[in-house]
Amino acid sequence: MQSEIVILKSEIGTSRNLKDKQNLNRAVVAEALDIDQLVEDCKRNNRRAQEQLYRQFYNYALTIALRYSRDEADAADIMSHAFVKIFKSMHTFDKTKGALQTWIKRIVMNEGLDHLKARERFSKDMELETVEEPQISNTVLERMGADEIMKLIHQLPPATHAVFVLYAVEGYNHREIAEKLKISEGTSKWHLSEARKTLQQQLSRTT
Amino acid sequence: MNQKATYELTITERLEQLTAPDMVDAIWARIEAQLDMDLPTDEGPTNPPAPKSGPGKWLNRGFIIAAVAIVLIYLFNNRKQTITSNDQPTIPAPVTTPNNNDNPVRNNSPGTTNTQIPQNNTSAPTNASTVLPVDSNAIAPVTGPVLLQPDTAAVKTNAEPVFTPPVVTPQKNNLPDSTKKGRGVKGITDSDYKIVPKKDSSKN
Repeated sequence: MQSEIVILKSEIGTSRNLKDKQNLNRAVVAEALDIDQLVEDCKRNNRRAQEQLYRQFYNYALTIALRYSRDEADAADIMSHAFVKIFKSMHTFDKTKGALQTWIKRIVMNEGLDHLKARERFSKDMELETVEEPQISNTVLERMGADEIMKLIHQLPPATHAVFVLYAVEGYNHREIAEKLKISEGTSKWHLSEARKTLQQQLSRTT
Repeated sequence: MNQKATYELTITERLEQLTAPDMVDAIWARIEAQLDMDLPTDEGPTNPPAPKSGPGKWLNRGFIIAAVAIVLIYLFNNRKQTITSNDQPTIPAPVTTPNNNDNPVRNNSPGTTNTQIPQNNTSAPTNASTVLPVDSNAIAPVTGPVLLQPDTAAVKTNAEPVFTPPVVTPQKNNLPDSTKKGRGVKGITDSDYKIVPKKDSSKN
């Protein structure tokens, strides 16, 4: 009797899971359709659709913008410039080549890098052949909040800041960073090394 | 892509948890203002933007060039007319004697019925004070000097400079002083023109 009940419960559970999955799939499809419609409306320069798209991706885009800025005002600048570019070049977006989210991320990131470049000349003569092994304490970082870590990164010089975020957060390698920032791989390595040293010093002060 | 170290993974994790500050409306206001300037919508300004390419652009340019050319031509003509009217000195212009039959072309005095004035010269005013167009080549056979002064009133009232008749300028009048020149051949009188019938030699 008990085994039957268990079987029934499990059947109910599987049927619920199935329903949930189906509902989730429907929601995903509906959202995709909504985004497709939004993109089409944005291509027709519909201001309401543009605002809706902006609000939908606001948190995602601002989180990226904050990584490349010194403060919130800087991030707001990056956001406004990036979204104007997004809406101006919306007709070039092709969903078969990639997701809208990835396309938006690339534009915001490039705008952030342009913002950092405007603050400092990136091509320096400092070069490194090998990168020093990280000496940054993970245990200290785990105790820190997101805002505190962000403040540490904001204290880095612009070029060092850009290389560190691209390497440590976005996951690019030195060759890709060198192409993006139009610097040599050695310079990219030098900036990463500088970033690690500075962060290490900052973290040792906080502990 | 690189192999992330443990501390890098921690940083990435933390940064993804970052709460975005509430600037959504302020940033949208800036974006919207910029879009209104760069990409005006149909609901925006009623005047459509100027065509940046295609035949419309050339039409607009052609219209502007034509308008500028018309203004320049008008100003050039106006300036030319002003200079001409200012440079008119008091000149002794030769005129004909009241004898209409001797020199009918030059007789423009009022009250005369000069039938040899060209019929197509309709724009010439009949007012006696107005100076008619004068052909400098036709001035030669004249008998007496008459002082002609440019009528400033006529110039002033003539609003359309295009239709103002040209006046005689002293530079163009290079003919010798006609007052000293006698008319006809000296020593021949009217009696010399007496016609005497002669016998027809063919009948002989």
